[in-house]
Amino acid sequence: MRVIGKRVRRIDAIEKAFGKAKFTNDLSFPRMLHAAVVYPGVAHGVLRSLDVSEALKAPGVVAIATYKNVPNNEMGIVTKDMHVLVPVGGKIRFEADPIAIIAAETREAAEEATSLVNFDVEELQPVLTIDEALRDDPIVNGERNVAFQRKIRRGDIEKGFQESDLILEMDFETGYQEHAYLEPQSIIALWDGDNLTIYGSMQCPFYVHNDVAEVLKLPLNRVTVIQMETGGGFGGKEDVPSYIAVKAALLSYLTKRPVKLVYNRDMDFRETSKRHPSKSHYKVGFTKDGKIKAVKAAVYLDMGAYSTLTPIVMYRSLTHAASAYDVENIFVDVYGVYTNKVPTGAFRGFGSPQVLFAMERVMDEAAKRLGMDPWEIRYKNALEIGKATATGHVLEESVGAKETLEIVREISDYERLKEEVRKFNEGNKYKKRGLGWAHTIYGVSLGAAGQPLDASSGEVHVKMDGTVLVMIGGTEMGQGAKTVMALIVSEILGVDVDNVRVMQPNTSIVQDSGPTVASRTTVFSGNAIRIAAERIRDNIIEYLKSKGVEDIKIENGYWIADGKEIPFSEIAREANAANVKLAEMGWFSTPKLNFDFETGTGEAYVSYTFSTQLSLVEVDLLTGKVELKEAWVSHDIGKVLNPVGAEGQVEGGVVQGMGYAISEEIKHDENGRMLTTNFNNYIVPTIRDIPRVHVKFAESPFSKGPFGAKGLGEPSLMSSPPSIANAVTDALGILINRLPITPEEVLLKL
Amino acid sequence: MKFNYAAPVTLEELSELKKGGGKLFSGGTDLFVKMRAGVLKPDLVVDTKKVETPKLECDKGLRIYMNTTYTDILKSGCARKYSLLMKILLEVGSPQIRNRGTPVGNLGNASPAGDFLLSTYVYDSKVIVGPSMREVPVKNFVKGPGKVDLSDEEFIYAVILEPLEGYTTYYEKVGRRNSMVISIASIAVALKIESGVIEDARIAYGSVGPTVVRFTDLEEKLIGERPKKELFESLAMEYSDRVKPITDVRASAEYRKKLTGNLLIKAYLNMNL
Ligand SMILES: Cc1cc2nc3c(=O)[nH]c(=O)nc-3n(C[C@H](O)[C@H](O)[C@H](O)COP(=O)(O)OP(=O)(O)OC[C@H]3O[C@@H](n4cnc5c(N)ncnc54)[C@H](O)[C@@H]3O)c2cc1C
Repeated sequence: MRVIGKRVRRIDAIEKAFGKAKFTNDLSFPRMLHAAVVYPGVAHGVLRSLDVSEALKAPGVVAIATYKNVPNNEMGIVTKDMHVLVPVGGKIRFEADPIAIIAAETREAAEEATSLVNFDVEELQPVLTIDEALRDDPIVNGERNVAFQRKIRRGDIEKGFQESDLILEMDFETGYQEHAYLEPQSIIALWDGDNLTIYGSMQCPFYVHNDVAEVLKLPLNRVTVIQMETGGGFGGKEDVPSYIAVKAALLSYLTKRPVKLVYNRDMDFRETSKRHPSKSHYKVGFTKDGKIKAVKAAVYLDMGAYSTLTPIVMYRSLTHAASAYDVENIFVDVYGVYTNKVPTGAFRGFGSPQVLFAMERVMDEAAKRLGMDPWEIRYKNALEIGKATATGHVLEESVGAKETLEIVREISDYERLKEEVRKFNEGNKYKKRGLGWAHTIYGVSLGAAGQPLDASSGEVHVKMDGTVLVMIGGTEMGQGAKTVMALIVSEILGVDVDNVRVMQPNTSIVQDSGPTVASRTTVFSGNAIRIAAERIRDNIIEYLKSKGVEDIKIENGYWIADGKEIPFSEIAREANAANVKLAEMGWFSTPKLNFDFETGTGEAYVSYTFSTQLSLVEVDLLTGKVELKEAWVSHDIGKVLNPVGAEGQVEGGVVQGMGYAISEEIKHDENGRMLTTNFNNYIVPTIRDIPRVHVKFAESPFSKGPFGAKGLGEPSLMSSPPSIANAVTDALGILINRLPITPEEVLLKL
Repeated sequence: MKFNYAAPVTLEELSELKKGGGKLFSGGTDLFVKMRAGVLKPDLVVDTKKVETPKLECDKGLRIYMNTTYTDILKSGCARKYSLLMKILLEVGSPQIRNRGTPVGNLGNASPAGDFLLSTYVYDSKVIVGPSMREVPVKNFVKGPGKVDLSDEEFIYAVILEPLEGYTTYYEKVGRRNSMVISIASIAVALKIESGVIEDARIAYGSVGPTVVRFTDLEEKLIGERPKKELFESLAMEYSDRVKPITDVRASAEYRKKLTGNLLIKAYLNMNL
């Protein structure tokens, strides 16, 4: 291969490094207005009155929208349980439940006017924790606070426990995580009376497309959504940009002027989604020799005031509840619970980090009780071809699970490392080190619950000069999607990577390709582009053959026709002049997955990524501070298309997972108002906190992936929190069953 | 947010503007954070950077004037012997913050978590207050969180740190990450040991009270003693008992109390006495 698997520079590196890339806030239009959002600042209550007359008189204010101005005020992905703007008489369900939006000549004028909107709220007791919510008094939303349930019933759980020699019961808790993307939520909307155009920072332009059209009751072919360069997403720009876009679009619709709505960090923290806090109870049975016989789990996810993506997030918690192991008897319940806090939703891992943390902690406890090495117990239960996942999906190919365990054991020199840690601990009274394993699974793409969205389109156009334009429905948000697309096209067409340009997605050009989530872009957009590029290549080959060329090869950027090298630019010029079709569209979808939602069994996902991490931590016994010093990681991603990008994903994933595990925490006051709304007290890691990360991939090819590739974006995070928690437990001998592991908790527990 | 801006060039003008209700700033890395959060809403902000002042003088103690940034000090050769100060300054914010922020601003802000402020207590510093140029020991100057001994027309002109020659020092700030963090608790220690006996001891804590704390009666317990671990352990307990920290969004009072003692033990262990 020429570029696939080789170390190449990302195609958007220079423009981003030099600040030339255009983000939404860099755009400006003549007569553009700026928007601000009015929040109630009360976590639970009934909106009794709303008066915007005073705010309307404020200098610079052009329009104010309330519920009365929204053509269709009902919103929600799975259930319509939220409003665009809370109506008078309606319920306020969290402190940043928007009640009005203001458009003004300047951002300052819009923001200033927010304090002039008068309203009364009849306050209700806020429901702030999962435990409070379970009492159903008061009800936050709908009929019951426990609004959704998903389950797996597989095998015979009681029999499984009867056959077990060791039965562990453990409780776990995990906290929020904020995406902390560099660029906050940003949208510009332009309504000209006939057509609406939206520019914005987003992962899923087709979601924004559908949601804005629905709220404004516009036909989809009158709405265009263009994704601008996006400064990070991590799931936080899956559904949320829709909620931002409808606000800007509504104001533009009312004023017929362009409207820009750029969130500040405080708004972004208070109003937009986070990772779900969770509570779970696990009961797991093992035989004497460490084989898992039964897994029973009850998992509660705090979905905040509105359900948004929670029912789909729950599908992932469900299917990942037994981690990456071969278990026959499984009984899992996952519940989605309303509380009066910010709605939680998509976040790298999508409901799996919470359960993987729990199950991986159970594995370590079992190993300890059974006198086994934590590596060994995992290896013993690891999946292989012919074995079934938690949902009973029998794996037929691409299972590098054991290989990842073997690789990490080898690259960490595990036996020597254990000895070093033992010696360190003997010689140090106030510092202790520990090692922790995690072995995890990740279902690639949306799976059975999201299959209606699981198809992607991609177009490739070869220009007369041999340069190539690529259009996909998947988005680049910093993860390197554009580079992977360029590599695929470059490899197939024999064109230089530098001559491939990947455009920003535009919903009026590319057909709905589903969301850029679930680690699916390399597989879905990548395959669509592969198909399109292969068609063009075949069109060219057919043309060359018609001219009498017999032997055609594509090597090192040159086409070799009957032994003669021809640069791609020449081929393109000639083919174009001969009217060869140099533009093609590729369409990729996967065969229908057979899954029974009643029992939670069947083919949950098209394929799975397998991961192993070993973490070395050091705990300061005098301060309680945990430091992740070093991590050894392996993922089976089928095929490494872009090594630099893949390693970057792993390093970033380990660090983001570390933040979730040890430093990041959202706190609220007793009235449900968030206290940690900026980076001074919501503590994400800095460059001075990051560990050394050693990465080596396993490549067990997936026949339906482009060049055999599977997904990596999310799994790169999930192995980190449990391996850190296991390492801290190893270092201190105290059970770490709650995330984050704060210095305070560690010190007070010692 | 609307407010007026003034940039005086003389100390007299600066004093006049402050008397008229203006809020002074140099780096603005505290003031503008507070204004953005709505904690302060001044009608007038007064930029002190256009007033010409010396940067640093190292001959009679270390004199740090208004508008001198952390980076100015870290780069200057003559301040290098203030090694504890150097250690502390390197932990302030990030390179950007150190390029912009000033020690005088840190003093003016008078936060119990202020890292420079902590150092001033160990160096027995004095504040030079303009326009009269009266000198006040820092411990009398700081009255509480955000409260300093300045009348309406007064401002901080400079701060003088007395050198610590022959001292062994330790500094640590505890936060949930290793930089860009407001301390949960911090400690600065300077010990002078002659022929195996402690001659002078200065122990200051940040973030465990309304301002930086030093308990001279506890420090005196070390004087004349040999630096033994048991001595520091028992003193650590006394410090833990004595401090009255608060619970806030960063940590609980209970944790801070425990940290207070532990940090002294850490200081002892790390100073290799
Ligand atoms: C991201 C970030 C990280 C930070 N990290 C740290 C840290 O690690 N440690 C730390 O201690 N601090 C930190 N800070 C706080 C701040 O940077 C420091 O306190 C800095 O020293 C303030 O200096 P300044 O010149 O910017 O102050 P300014 O904001 O200009 O002023 C601060 C206060 O002093 C008053 N003032 C200014 N000049 C005078 C004067 N001449 N006379 C009287 N009063 C005056 C002002 O009115 C104001 O109340 C951080 C701030 C930010 C934004």
